[in-house]
Order: sequence, then structure tokens, then C-alpha cells
Amino acid sequence: MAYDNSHSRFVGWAKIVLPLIALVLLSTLFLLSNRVDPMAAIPYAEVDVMELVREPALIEPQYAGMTEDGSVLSLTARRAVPDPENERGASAEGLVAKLTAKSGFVADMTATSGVLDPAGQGLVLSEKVTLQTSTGYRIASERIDVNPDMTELVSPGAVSGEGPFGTLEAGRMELKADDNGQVLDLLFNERVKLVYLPPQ
Amino acid sequence: QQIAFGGIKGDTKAPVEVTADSLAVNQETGHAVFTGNVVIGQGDMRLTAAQVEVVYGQGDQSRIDRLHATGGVTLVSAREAAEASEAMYDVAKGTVVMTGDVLLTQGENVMSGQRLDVDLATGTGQMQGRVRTILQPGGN
Repeated sequence: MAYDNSHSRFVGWAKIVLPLIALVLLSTLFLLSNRVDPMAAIPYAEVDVMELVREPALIEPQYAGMTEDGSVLSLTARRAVPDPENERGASAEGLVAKLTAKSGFVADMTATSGVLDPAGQGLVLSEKVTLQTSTGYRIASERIDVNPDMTELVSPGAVSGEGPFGTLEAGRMELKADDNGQVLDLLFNERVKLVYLPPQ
Repeated sequence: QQIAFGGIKGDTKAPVEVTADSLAVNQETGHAVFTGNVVIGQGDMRLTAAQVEVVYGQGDQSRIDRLHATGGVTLVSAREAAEASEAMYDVAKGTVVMTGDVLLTQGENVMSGQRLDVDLATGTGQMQGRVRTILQPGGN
């Protein structure tokens, strides 16, 4: 099959080389395409359904109430679980509480855990409790008891933080209102220590 | 009567530390009162009193202008001690005004009067009101 002219020789070679190239192109097409996994089509949630059923929990519970002397108390939590011991209370996590007194004084509190028992011992915020007041106090404590009936916050344990005129530490702290909820007093007792930096 | 207060030359810009048994702050007016063996310390100056009331700068609650100590006050510094019934410590100006039968002891000399003005910055003091001094004839 020796051809005498170059054109036929060229066509003869082309008939061999071109199909080979086509074959290579076709195979790379399937080689490089990504795999479609029919099984992973529907992603489903990994929630432990049994745990949810067994433990009845409230998500984002909210409590709001008015104390006898007219200040508004509101509290929200990320999650609350009814208390096994007393049937009315509930222990909660991720609490945010706000106390607004008639006189316009506002106290904002946050805590990682707490117990809500409005009828019994009130609302107890524990574990890394922070208190911020509209009068410029920022205080950290281990526990704050919020009285749902009267305008009263009590931190039985040590508190430390800042006031408008300096940093403060005390063994105990109480926020009380007089009977008609007008005048509020912030009391620090059991050895209070204040450090004031005069303007330089 | 001008007297030198060598020891009391305090640093009026040093932080003021107030410790007490309890502190009550009225959230309406911001009026703050320390009660129960209150100790005010600045530098090496110590002022103890039964009760201290905080007086702010005009309307600005973050600046303490004066501390009004009552109920028996003693001012102690390196070498002097002064006692009176009342004292007004002006933090801004760095002066202490003690009134009410003041008794000042400097080393062995004792001086009493009705009013003692101490300037912490310059360390000088001025006693007024029926001043009586008892000077011990020193050995030097």
C-alpha cells in the first residue's frame, strides 16, 4: 500500500491517528468527571430523637412579671428543664434578665445557669452572673437572687466590678427599693473596697 | 500657725483607695456613703473615720471632688498623726481640712487647736483656733 503521492500518504496516516485522538478524548471525559453519589442526596438532621422525647424541655422560655412596687421583671432563657424536686420550679441555661423600676432605673443581668421558681424562692441566677445598671455599675458575681415580689436583687457572695467613680469589691451586695419602689439603694457590705483614680 | 508636714507630702495624683464595712449608694442622686471604720488611703497617707460621704464634681458622677469624713477622724502619715472630729479631704486640690478640737502630734511635740488645714501637695499645714503647743525640749 505504498502511495506515490503525499496526499494519499497523509490521508492514510490521518485515518489511523485521528481515531486514536478521538479515543483518548472520550476516555478522559469519563476519567475527570466527578462522581455523583446517589446515596447522599438527602442530608438528614443528627438529632437524638429519643433524648428529646425522654426529657421534656422548654426552648426559649420567657418569664415576665410585675413586682408589688411596680417594677417590671422580665427573663428569657435559652433552655429550661422542669425541676425534678419541686414541681413548679425549672432550672434553665443561658439566662438574660431585666429589671425596670418605676423610677426608670434599669438593671440588666446575664447568667449561664439559674433556677426559675417564681412562687417559691424566686429567680436564682448562678454561674458567671453579670449585672449592669443604667447608673453605670458593671458588676460580676457568682450568684444573684432576684425577688419576683419586691424590687430586690441580692448577691450573697462576693462581687467585684466597676462603678461610675472607680473599681469596687465587696463581700456582699444588695439592690433595694424603698416601699413605693421609687428610691433605689445599692448596698455593698462585708468589707467594701473602692479604688478611685484621680484624673491625671 | 504655720507648721511643716514633712511626712504628709502625698502624691495627689496617686489612686485613692477607700475601704469600709459597707457602702450605700443612692441610685437616684448617686449620693454614696461609706460607713464602718472607713480607711482612705493615698500614697502613704491614711485617713480613718467612722463615716465618709462622697461629694462629686458638679453633675459628673465619675469624678470625686471631696470626701467628707465624720465621726472622729485620724490622719496618719510617715511621722505625723492628727486627730479631729471631722475632716474634709478635697481630692481634686489635695488638701485636708480637719475641724473640731484637732490634736496634732509630730514626733514628740503636740499641738492642739480648732482647725487644721493640710496641703498634701506641698506638705505644709496651718493650725488655727486657740492653738496650744507643747514642745519637748529636744536633746539636739
